[in-house]
Amino acid sequence: MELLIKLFIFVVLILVGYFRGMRNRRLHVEALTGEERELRDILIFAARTPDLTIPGPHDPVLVCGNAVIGSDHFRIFLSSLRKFVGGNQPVYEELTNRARRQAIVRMKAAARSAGARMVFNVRYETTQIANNRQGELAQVEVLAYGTVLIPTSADASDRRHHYVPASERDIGETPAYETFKNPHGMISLGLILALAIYVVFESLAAHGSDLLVRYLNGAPWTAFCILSTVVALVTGWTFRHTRLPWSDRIIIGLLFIPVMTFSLYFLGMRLDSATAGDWRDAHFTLQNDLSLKPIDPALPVVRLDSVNDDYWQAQPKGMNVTLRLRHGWLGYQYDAGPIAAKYRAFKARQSPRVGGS
Amino acid sequence: MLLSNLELIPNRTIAEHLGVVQGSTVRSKHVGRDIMSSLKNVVGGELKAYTELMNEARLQATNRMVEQAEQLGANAILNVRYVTTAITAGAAEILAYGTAVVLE
Repeated sequence: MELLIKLFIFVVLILVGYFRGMRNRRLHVEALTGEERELRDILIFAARTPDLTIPGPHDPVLVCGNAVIGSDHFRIFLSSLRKFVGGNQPVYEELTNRARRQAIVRMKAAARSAGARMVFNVRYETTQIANNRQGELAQVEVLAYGTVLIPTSADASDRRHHYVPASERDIGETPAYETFKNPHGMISLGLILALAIYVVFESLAAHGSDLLVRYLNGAPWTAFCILSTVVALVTGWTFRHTRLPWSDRIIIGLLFIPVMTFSLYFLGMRLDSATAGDWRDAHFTLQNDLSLKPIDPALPVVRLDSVNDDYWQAQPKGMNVTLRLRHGWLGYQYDAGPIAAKYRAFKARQSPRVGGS
Repeated sequence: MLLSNLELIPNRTIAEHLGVVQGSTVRSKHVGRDIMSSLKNVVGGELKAYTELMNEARLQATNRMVEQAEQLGANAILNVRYVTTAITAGAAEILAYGTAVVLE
């Protein structure tokens, strides 16, 4: 079955390579021919020495043109058949030829924009870009470069044709590209670290005390998740013009959302506690579906965590359960300390039975 | 700083030779663009992302060569040559070198 899929993919690639590749090659060659015709008045010389009879002082300007051309699956497949019998490889010949022509055309265009008609000492430099070990297809780069001589005034301070160092943007590198040097990146990572430390601190603090405050009927995790995602997206949009690369932004977003969700959990609990009234005891009756029905109809029905269902199964139905509750801005909280102690005692009774003598 | 491929420039005399200067850079492909170019490989044709990559690498190498020449106090670099090598999987080094001179 796997073999069939691979064969199918192979055939698809070959066919696409054949049809689209043929069309792409034809279009490229047509465009090339057009460009070459337009630039045919620019002469190129491979000679090392220029025409020394040109009068007047000249400034030299280096002109370059490069092109990277890749071949398609169909042609590579054809050439691999050719390798069996040896001989020349028209597929690769055509590849390097087109790359050379394109490079020369670009160099001539640069010469024209410099205002010259002759390019001297033209050199070619060819490189293979693809990595054969990883099975990449043939991609070749050809760089063509030469010198044009522009008439200049005899004044030594005339710097018109002097080389202007390429800016950071042209080189494709900006100092802020490094995440650890970018202030926005550092602030985001610092914030995530601070929130993570807060979450760890809160979890440890909860362990220490007997008072175990919990959201009644579970924490609104979905709401927290959505809120943190919204915060992440809004912050991302506000700072979209910073020069932080996209990969880093995505990673920071993915780190931020869970950390923020947990922080909101704890912050919500703190807010609730701070705005809550006094603790009071509320009485509930254990129902058949393991929920707790309140005796006071103003209180909500409580459904405790299903992790501890086996404890509640073991209790008699209709039993009275007392929970300490208080009510804050974000809803009810209950003290889970006594209940947690009962769970622990229950589990301790269970395990020796399971473990044997 | 004048850059030239030629060994000498007509009607200009060289006052002083300051030795060979060079600038190089090693560039590798961006993973995202690599995937796009693999798709382009199916149909063949020019890989613009890599052309830009090599162009930027060449500009950076030339910048570095010019910096070195300026430190020596030259005002022109003659006989500029570019050499490209594949260093490792998916990374290419471009070296630009030439003779730094003072033209008068």
